[in-house]
Amino acid sequence: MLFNSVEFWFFLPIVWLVYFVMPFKIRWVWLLIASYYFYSYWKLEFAGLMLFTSFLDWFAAKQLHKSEIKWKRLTWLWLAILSDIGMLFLFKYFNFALGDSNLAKSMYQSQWTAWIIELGKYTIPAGISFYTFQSISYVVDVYRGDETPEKSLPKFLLYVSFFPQLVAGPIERFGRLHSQLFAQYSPRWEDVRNGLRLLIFGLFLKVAIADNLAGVVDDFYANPSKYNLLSTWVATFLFTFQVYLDFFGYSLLAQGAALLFGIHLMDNFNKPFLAKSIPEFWHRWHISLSTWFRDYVFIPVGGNKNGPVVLAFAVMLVFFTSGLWHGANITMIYFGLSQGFLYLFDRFIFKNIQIQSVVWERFKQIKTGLFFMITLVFFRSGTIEQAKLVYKQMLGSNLGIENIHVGLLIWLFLIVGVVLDNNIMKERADSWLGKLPFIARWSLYVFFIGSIAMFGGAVNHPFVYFQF
Amino acid sequence: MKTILIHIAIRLGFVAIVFIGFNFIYQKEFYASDVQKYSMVKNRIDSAFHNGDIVYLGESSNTSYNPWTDTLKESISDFLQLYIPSQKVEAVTHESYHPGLFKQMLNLQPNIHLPWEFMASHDDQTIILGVNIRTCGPTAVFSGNEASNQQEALFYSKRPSLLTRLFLSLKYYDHRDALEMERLKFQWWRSVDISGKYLSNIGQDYYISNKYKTVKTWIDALASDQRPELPVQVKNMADAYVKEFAFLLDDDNVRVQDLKEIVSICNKLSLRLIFHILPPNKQHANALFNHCELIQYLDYNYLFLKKRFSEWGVTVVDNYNLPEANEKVSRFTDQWYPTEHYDATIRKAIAKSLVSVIEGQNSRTLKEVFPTRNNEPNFNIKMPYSDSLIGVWKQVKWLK
Repeated sequence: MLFNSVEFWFFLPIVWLVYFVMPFKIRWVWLLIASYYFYSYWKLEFAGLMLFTSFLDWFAAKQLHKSEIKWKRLTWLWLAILSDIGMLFLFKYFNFALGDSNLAKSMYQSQWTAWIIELGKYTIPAGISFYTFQSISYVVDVYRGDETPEKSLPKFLLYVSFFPQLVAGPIERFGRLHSQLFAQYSPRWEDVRNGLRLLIFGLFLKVAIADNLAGVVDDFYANPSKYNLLSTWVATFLFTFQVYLDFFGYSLLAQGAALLFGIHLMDNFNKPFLAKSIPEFWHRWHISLSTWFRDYVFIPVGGNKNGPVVLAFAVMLVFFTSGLWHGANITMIYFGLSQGFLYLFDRFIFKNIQIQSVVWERFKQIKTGLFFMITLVFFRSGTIEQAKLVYKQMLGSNLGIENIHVGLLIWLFLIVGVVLDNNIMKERADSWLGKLPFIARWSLYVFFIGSIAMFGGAVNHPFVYFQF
Repeated sequence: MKTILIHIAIRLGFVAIVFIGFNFIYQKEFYASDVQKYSMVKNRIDSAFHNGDIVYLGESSNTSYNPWTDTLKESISDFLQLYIPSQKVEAVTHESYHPGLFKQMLNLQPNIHLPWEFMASHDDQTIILGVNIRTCGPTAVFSGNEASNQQEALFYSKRPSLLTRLFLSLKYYDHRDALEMERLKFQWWRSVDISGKYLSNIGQDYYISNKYKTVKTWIDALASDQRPELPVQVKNMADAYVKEFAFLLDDDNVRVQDLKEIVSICNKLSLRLIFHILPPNKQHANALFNHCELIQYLDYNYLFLKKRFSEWGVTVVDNYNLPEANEKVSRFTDQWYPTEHYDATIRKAIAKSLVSVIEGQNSRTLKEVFPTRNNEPNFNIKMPYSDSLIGVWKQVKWLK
């Protein structure tokens, strides 16, 4: 079930009402049932897969916690990690790794294995990358002694499957989410009100802006060679904001839905286009993933305390993995690596240029946004050839004749979204909206509702990160 | 909790008022352009239901013709109008449409005021619906075009227009994407047993004899056939025919259920309903598979539909064995794919068969009609491209 679906807007109030009608002790059971229903609404088989991997992680964490012997603890840890990564590989990367090899062909010929090829080729279990990472973080935290393992399997299942953050994050840590899921809580109007504010603003960003941008960008990428230089830049610019507002909108929807149950999810974005360097950008963009990579990859392989060579290796490893995490495609690997190089450029070269001037500060922001925007071409292109073609056009060596068509309304929505996010909101949407005078606040709500209902994008696009 | 619910109720009330206001604005200012943009034939359906004595709902079979050689370009419904000038024939044609979408078109009938509110018609309107056997098969059911068709069909409703627009924004239709449809199609081809079995749900025993258990094993066998005398065009055609026609209808088939619902809706509205079964290209099917394996699927599915139509009490124009469609294979305009696209001879013959059923006991000997806006009609038209491909097939003795 997607947040931008009619079904979800019936599902959410029903789950919410029943949750608070139930006695406190069994509320979490209801939430667990609702979360599995939410996930299996899309495909029942994938709920089974999530159940299986969750069980493995829960069991492994319990076993490693019980044991005092290091090799046993390590065995359980790696068993959990490798089984998680194995599942991820099987469903997300297997088909990519096999390509058109003879093994792939013979697997497709066999009645017993053909389904694996079909699944890998056509469908990825929704959110598998998110809940797998969340689950891995739990096992590692237990291994490190940062968390005590959850004794109850169903309670652990709820930590992994909590529906607001299940399919596209934020990737929450066990300690933070678990304590909230089972805490005594009475519904508070303040939380409900703030949750609703986040929901409506998130839906506006996704449906009214990102989905409309998606239509324009899709048209461009259907045949980039027919567009001229300016159009290519415009499409690249629009795609940057499509991805951002799509995922930012999703994150707000997730936070809003969770807040209705009194659960505060972490902020996943913090005005990334105000960043002055790529390292800073990744502290502001998809924060839950960046911090996950920091804690479970970057620091364990050496981090920034062991000299520049180790640092460069750690950065490149993180961005290579992060690129692959985004999708089983060579273009995603290019995207990840390009981020890595830009990160190192900013970290080792650009950082050393110190000029005290407002203009220089603005320039750094524009440069960072531009760098990110340009590398997103890899993210959007289906193949390296297509990415090359778009880059050629951006450099003006292959001028098409057509202009990209972007309606006035789309520009208006984009400006409203960006201005609200970057220039006005110093805080999150819910608290910022709350400080506005009644008339202004409700005028904005009416604007959001009208935009969603009358002008929402008609292109059939799930959330961009939903497929990861 | 009570206070929270009151707060929410107040806000919901306000949102409802806003929604009503926006609905008014949207209906007045934006709805018409959205219909143009997202649902091209919606206005055509409205007009057809309002003005037609006979409304012909069809897919591309109605209008397709060979643009190079077919001197008569009239559609089946155009011919029908020429034969029955006393009645107004209106047609709604949309490529790759199927009963599930025709069913939704009926929501725009003037006698339905709200989706659940039926009123008997007083004007004896006749609805003619083309039934294409191929459209019931997995290739058509899991078509990659379905999401865009369903998006258009959102507008085939009398719900408040802003609600329709909101449903469009929130993708409240079957929006499974082309990749997912392809997966389902491959899964069907791989897993559904189509091999030798007795079938008895058509009122008579029918035995399907085929050594291939699934569509996949069948097309794999075709693909691995290395005979050098087998032209690639013929192999591709055989592959397409198996994928399109090798299936067995039953009552769970989604299209069969849609057809049944159409009968029920038309009964409620007291509309006269005619299903007309379109002729598939049996000559190709026979030539490719030696009058054997494939044709038995076509025949079985035809018998199944005929039996169900008779059980449901619906009038049927049966053109499955239309002589004009079995005389010359070149009368099918597509020689590279198993579409039901006909030349003027077949389109005209279908129209004639419809007239005889529409007029019933009052049927008359039809005078030949000659549309005036074209060149001189030539019903024995030769189709060079078609004939050359037929020539390719003749190089092969049998494919099997």
